[in-house]
Amino acid sequence: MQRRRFRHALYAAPALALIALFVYYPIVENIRLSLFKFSVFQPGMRYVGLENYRQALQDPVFWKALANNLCYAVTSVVFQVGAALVLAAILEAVIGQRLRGLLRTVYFIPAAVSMTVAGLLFQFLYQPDAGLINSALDTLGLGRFAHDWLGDPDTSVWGVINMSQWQSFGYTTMLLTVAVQRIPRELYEAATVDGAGRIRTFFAVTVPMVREMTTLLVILTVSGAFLVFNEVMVMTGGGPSNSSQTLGTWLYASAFTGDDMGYAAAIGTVMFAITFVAGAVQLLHSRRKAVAA
Amino acid sequence: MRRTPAAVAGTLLVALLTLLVSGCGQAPVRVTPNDFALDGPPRGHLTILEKWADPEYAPYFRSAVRAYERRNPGVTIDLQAVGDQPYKDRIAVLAASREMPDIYFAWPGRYARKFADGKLAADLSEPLKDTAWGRTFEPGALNAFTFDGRPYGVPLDMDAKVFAYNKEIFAAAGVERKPRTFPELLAACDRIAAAGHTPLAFGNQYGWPAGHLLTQFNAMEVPPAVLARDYDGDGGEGAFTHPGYQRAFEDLAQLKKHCMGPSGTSMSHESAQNRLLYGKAAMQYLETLEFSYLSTKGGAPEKFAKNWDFFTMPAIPGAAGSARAVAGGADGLLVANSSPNKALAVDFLKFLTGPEQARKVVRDLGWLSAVKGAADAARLKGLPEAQRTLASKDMALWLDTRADDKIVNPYLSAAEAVLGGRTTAAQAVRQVREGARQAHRFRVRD
Repeated sequence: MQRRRFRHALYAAPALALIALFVYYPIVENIRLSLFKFSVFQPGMRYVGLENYRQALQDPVFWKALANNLCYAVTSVVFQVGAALVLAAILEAVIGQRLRGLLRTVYFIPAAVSMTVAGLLFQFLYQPDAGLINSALDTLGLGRFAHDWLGDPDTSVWGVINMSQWQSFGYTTMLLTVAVQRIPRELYEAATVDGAGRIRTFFAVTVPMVREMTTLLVILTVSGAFLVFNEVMVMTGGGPSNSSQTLGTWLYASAFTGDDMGYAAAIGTVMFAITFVAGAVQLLHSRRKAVAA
Repeated sequence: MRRTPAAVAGTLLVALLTLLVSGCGQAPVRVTPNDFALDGPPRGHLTILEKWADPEYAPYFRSAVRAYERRNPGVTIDLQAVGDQPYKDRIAVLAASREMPDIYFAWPGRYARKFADGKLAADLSEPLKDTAWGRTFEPGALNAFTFDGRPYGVPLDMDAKVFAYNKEIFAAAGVERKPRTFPELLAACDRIAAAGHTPLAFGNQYGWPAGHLLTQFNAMEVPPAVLARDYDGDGGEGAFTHPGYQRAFEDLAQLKKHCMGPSGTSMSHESAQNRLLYGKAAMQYLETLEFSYLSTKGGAPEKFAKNWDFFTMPAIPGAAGSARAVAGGADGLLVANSSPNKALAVDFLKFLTGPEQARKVVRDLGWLSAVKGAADAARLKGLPEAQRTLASKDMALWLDTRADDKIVNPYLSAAEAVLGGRTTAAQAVRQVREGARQAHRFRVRD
């Protein structure tokens, strides 16, 4: 028995070694580097302890970036999980089998568009002079609401967030539709026999039965919101006046524009900690609920 | 103690991580002797990394490399070109791993200095200082890569910011001559706006166009010595306290108020340029490197291509800086300190900046050459005059490559806020000062 276990461990060793090399080692190395000040152009590294973290605490752009990530996460959870689940339930209840294939395709198309293309597309939509949004507002007689959406620090990050929601909403709806379809019909029939209305049925049957999928989506959307990078770089570059920076873009700017690698590593560590804690909390929470159920 | 497989695997994992962590750190800089003398005909292999990947520029560099290889059959060259931002990323990664290409690109000023200070670039004093080859370069261009009296880079082109303008729109608005002072420029903008045109096409989506304007205003408003100290990050707590910095932001705000349209912040520089080319705007503040785009061959409508001219930023009355300053720079190539082929690398650079290739740079690319006497090859409208104009000017290196890295972001951010009307000039200077203070406090280098 003992020998067989050892053989199992031996089989797992190459995979463990690869994971250690490409996942855990970079994490540990990043944490180590966050304790140093160094430039890639200069030889040598200066140990500064927690100075990079202190720098982050005093850096208004870091806080702005963190706040933007939080806005991103909250919006993503509300739309990509909450609203998508409602839509999935409605579509499944109302449309059922008839348009399932077509809808899956329609939902999936935005997710298949590359982030760069989607970003450029939305840039055109947001164009202050000739963009579709301002032109539509003008046509509807709402020209007073026309705006330089990405050029105004108050709206720039929301412009990027909107684009992300557009791109991912259909995809998460599709995943949740599949999860809803796997709920045994008997449960809905029992709810109907018990006199439950649509809303009660949604909260009493649909929501608990798709918990695994929603947990997974919450973890993915929250982690994704803290790792967001491409769409910001394509659409605003973090500007104007750093108003749309996220932790990812600020890390990149600190490393490659500011040449402050230790500080960038500290930001990376913060991002890791946030996503790790968010994922762990979600997993523990869902496991506890599963045990209780 | 009972040894379970999990314990064994865990111990192995920890041991592996410890080994990896303890074994890493920045690799030492490899330096080869500065031997620039070729021993016989050129032979060997060179790697080159540069940033001219655009389809209109890349063929010239490929053809130059092929020409050198044909002339020297014993030489092979691996030329790689990437865009501006990918270049910054890639060279940083190569610098971190101490695997520099034999020849690589650098922007002038502090950007190039980082390579020199880090001993990643070879000191080219021997082949360039007081030599026949060194004397072929425009002094301002070579100085942009000279640090502590030692040249570390070979300038290839020169570039400067000017206002290109549509002569028809100027005439229609009653602006009869090129503005000679800053107030005259603002007055011209008012007349053009009153005639129904956007005076200045401005696209600041990525921040650097505003940085170029501030490069110009700072150079005109702040004495050069003060500016150099503050840009270097050596000013400490007293950095950016000269009143000229605030005036520079005020100049920017004035330019915005009188000359720019409402939507510059989210528009790209290229989109703004189209507004100039198609008669929607009267002027654009652009680089002489962009003159080729103003020709029919470069895509401009014939109507515009025949009817444009340029002028440099006019003098600002009462300004404390240099009235002869013009924002600009020179692009350069450096030789890796670790290169085992320094002599071959220098020989290739001599070829690339020789009279024949220098004239090709002017003729084929429409650039101003950093090599004296190459301008007469210019066929592009405006280029010979630009070369003459620059000869009477002092080059103020781009703020974003000249200033300390930590100062650049607060500066560009403050400029965007001023342009957006959200910050006053006084607040913008305070923001820059705070950035400089932070830079001083959390300095990467000792």
